[in-house]
Amino acid sequence: MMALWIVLGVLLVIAVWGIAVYNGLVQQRENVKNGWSQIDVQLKRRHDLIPNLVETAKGYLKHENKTLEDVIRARQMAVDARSLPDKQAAENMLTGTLRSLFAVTENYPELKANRQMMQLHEEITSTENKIAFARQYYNDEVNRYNASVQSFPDNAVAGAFKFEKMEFFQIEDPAEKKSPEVKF
Amino acid sequence: MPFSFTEIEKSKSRVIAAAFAFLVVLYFAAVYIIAVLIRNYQSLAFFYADETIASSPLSPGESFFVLAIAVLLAAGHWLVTIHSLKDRVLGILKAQPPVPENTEERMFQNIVEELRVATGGAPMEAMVIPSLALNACAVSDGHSTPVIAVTKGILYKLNRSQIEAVVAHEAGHILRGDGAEAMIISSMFEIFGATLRAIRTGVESAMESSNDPWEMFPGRGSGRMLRLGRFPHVIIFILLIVLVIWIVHALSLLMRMFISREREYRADAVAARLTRNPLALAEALYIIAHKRHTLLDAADSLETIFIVNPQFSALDQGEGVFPDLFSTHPPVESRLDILLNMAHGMAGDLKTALQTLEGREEQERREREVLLPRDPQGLWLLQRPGEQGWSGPFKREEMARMEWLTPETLIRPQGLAEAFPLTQMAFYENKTTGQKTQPDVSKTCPACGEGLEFVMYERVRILTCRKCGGVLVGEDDIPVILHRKEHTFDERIQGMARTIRQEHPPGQTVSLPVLPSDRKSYCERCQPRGRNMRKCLFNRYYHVEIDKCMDCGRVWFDKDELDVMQCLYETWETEGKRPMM
Repeated sequence: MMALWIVLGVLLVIAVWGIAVYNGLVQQRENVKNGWSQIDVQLKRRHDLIPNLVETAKGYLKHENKTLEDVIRARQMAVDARSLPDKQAAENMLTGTLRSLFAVTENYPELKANRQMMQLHEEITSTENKIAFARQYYNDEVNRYNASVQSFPDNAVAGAFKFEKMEFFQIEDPAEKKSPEVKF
Repeated sequence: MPFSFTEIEKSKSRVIAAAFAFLVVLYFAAVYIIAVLIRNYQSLAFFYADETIASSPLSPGESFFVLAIAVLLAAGHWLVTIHSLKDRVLGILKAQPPVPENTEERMFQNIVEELRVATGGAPMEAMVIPSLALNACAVSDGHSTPVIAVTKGILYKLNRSQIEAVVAHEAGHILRGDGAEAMIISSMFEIFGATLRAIRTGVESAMESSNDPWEMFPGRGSGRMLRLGRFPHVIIFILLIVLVIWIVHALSLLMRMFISREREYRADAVAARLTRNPLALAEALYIIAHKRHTLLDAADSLETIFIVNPQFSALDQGEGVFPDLFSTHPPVESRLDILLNMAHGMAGDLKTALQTLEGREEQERREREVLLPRDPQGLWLLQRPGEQGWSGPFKREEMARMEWLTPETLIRPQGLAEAFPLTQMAFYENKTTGQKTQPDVSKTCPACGEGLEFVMYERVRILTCRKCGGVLVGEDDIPVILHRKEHTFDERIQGMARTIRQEHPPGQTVSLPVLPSDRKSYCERCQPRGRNMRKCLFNRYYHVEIDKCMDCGRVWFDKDELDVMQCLYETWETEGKRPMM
């Protein structure tokens, strides 16, 4: 009789623990999804800002057609991309073309001083930062989630309810890998 | 194990509970004493009869009743404290939402939104404090949207990553929940303080405005005191008020025990984690600590919510039991050590690096400026070496912003065919105007110890530091520089001048508290025998921060400060009021 009560007690404890772990995993998975949607939101915002940027710059950059076209093309590719690797590659390229465009505007002080251009530059810089932060948040959450899903004994619950590892979002920025130039 | 920001629990409610309990104890003691006095009311005659108080303690039933009253009073006090706390604090600070048309404020708004993304969408609002001092605070009361407020000085003096680090630090307070704690606790006794101050001013104004018929001793202060001497009750009443105010002040100091210095270290850690850039926060703290960070009008009790203590407190610099209990901020040096450790840097390097960074940008700008023609109105055409066409025409101001200019860039005045490289500009101008300038590097900069050199600025000979951009000007030269208007000011300088005007109407006497600074600035001429240069505001009209040599009167302006002063002067002049120097 006593043994029965003990067994029931142990089962109860395990059940309570299991519920707690399950809820924790669900919360973490939702955080990951939240992080992903944030990245999406910011990437889309960048896509939306670019046509305006190109319009403003076009009047001044009459001899820089190639740079402008690169930006427009890269943007289109990024909007059309579907799978995760495609998206990552397209956004990567778009970042590169934008950087070239801003480098070129250094030579056109009238464009640089143009009020609308300055505002757009600030907005795009801010959006790039937000993309970086969203990616950072997403990756941090994925890190925690993956760790929870794989650690013992939580992985028992994870396996039972089909919680699986998720992928990190990697935007490889080739410029970040180069060592910084030393001016003067 | 990295923590997730969405999992940080709100407000460690233990501290709040402890504070509430303290309040209940206080009220209990007060009501108990009053009850005992009432119980033995005849003994109140003790005041005149010089007998000891006959007191009998209350029975358990009565004590319980007193406790109930105490809890009710404490709860009422609590609710009144919390009621619109956030709005009241923001009102004291005169904080305004950022104006999107203003470049710096728009950037600040964006930065706060970026931090919101970094924390997975935590609610935060941005507000700007119209002051040129450097400081930032998080204002939250636990139920409405928290606010991160930053002074205009921060927006002007710090670069984007440094501002981001400061905002991240404040976000750290909000996320950990200790923003609300600190505000509630520090405001708890404000209600007493405010009431008593109101009573005191009421009594004082009643005394002064009395056109009473008892005026037997016409005259000023002493006469009034003598007059009062006829009414001992009034004096006692006033003394009692003063005593109570003193007690309340002591109590609010005591409340600081509840606010741990550790808060700041933790918020620094969260900031480093959010931005992945501890060096930026270290730079920001360093700059804030060494420039004016006193908000001259902010209430004393609010110091806990700021990133660097706005009141200079020697207590902050100490370590040990007493400072740990009663100081609200840890010493800035410790915070820097920790952050620089994270960034694998050293404090000595930080200072040099900051000055080098500022100095290098400034140096490049001044190198360009020196090469450029002095006339602000003239139009010039530029040709890049190796290219064919001429671009332009440009004015001096536009050329100053072009970072691609090199000493080899060719330049020619519009309308003339004569072209020459920028290095020859001085010769060209000497030829046409007959003036000569000579560099002379033999002095040392009071701020960074590097060499100073003479330059001509608005046709006055002044010393400038190539590294940090500051200028040393003789006392008599200042009015001359102010009067001449050859320099134009960009949006940023104008914004700074406007902020100074808003912050302090001219003529108001303000004093600059002594800032703890490792900068022992000596005027190089008076150095061997002379005193430290004194950090102060220029005068009653120009609230610009300067260092003045008390021996020879020369004035040191950090980068931008002389420009701001000129801008102020010209603004007043166009308005028709030119304040005397």
